[in-house]
Amino acid sequence: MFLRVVLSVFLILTLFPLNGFAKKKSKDVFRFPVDIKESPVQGNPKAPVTIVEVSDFQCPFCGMVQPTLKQIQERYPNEVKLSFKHFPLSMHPDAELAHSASLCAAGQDKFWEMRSILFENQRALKRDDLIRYANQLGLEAESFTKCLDEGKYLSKIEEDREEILQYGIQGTPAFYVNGRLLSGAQPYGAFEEIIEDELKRFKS
Amino acid sequence: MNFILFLMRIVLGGVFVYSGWGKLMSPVENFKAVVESYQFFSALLVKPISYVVPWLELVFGAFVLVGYLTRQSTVLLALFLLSFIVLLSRSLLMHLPISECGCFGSGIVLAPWQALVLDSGLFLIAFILLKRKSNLFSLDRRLHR
Repeated sequence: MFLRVVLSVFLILTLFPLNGFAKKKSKDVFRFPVDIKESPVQGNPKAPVTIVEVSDFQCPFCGMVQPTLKQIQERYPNEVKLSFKHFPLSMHPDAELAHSASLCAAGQDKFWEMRSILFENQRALKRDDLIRYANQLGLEAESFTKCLDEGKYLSKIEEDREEILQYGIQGTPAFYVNGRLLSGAQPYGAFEEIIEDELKRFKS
Repeated sequence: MNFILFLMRIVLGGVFVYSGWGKLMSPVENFKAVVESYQFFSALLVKPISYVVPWLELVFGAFVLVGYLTRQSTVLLALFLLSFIVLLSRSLLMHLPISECGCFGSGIVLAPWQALVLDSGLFLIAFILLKRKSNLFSLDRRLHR
């Protein structure tokens, strides 16, 4: 009886990976219309490939993928630009405040620098930590603290969250490469394959 | 004593249900990245392991939680724990660059040494449950197993 249960579970589970095996070409894929007009952008503004990172500053997997994104930016400095959508998960109690801090830093043109610090210090995202990071970046302390305490950008975080939720994403990280979804902490190779496919499409 | 064994069953089953659920609520690629980071399994095995293990944790954790096929499910979970202990110990001895064990998806964040302590404790619980039978508040008892 027990063996039957194990076998049944195993057989059911083997059905799950099947839909991931087919390789899709750029013309066959669905592209999500992610709007980055109000989102920060890093890199060549004329780059043909845009990677939108959907992330949570307290998510360990979002931190795990940062070296991969750095590698991509080094490999494709003119071909790829990076953008960011805020998606703090409710299971991470310090995430929303950290995202607020990044937006308060954005108000003083230091979004990307604050983003790097936050991912490097994922276990220290309390209010005092965030103020210390702002000081490290040379931000104007009073206006940063006021921005953080008043929750000036909570509505922007909510807007990003609502937009991403409508695309069916519930976990982080997620990436849209010219609208093509890559979910989870993907290896460099997975990004490279899509980027090269998009660059071929751009050149043809 | 029976009640303590019952609580142990709840703890063991509950941790595995939470662990499996946490992994299933995150993109499967997250757990795949965790499995790869241990640098133990060949590339062919990483994907099936990433898909199958969270479901097995959830299903057999639930079985232990409700006391269904308790002995068999506890054996399976004990084998899981033993393999986790081996992997974690190996990663610590080899100083692999793993900052997060990946045990609970994006939920609770544990360093490998913390996960090793937890898994060792859970393995002890599983061992005790196997040595001392108890079917207090269990489905097995209702089904007269």
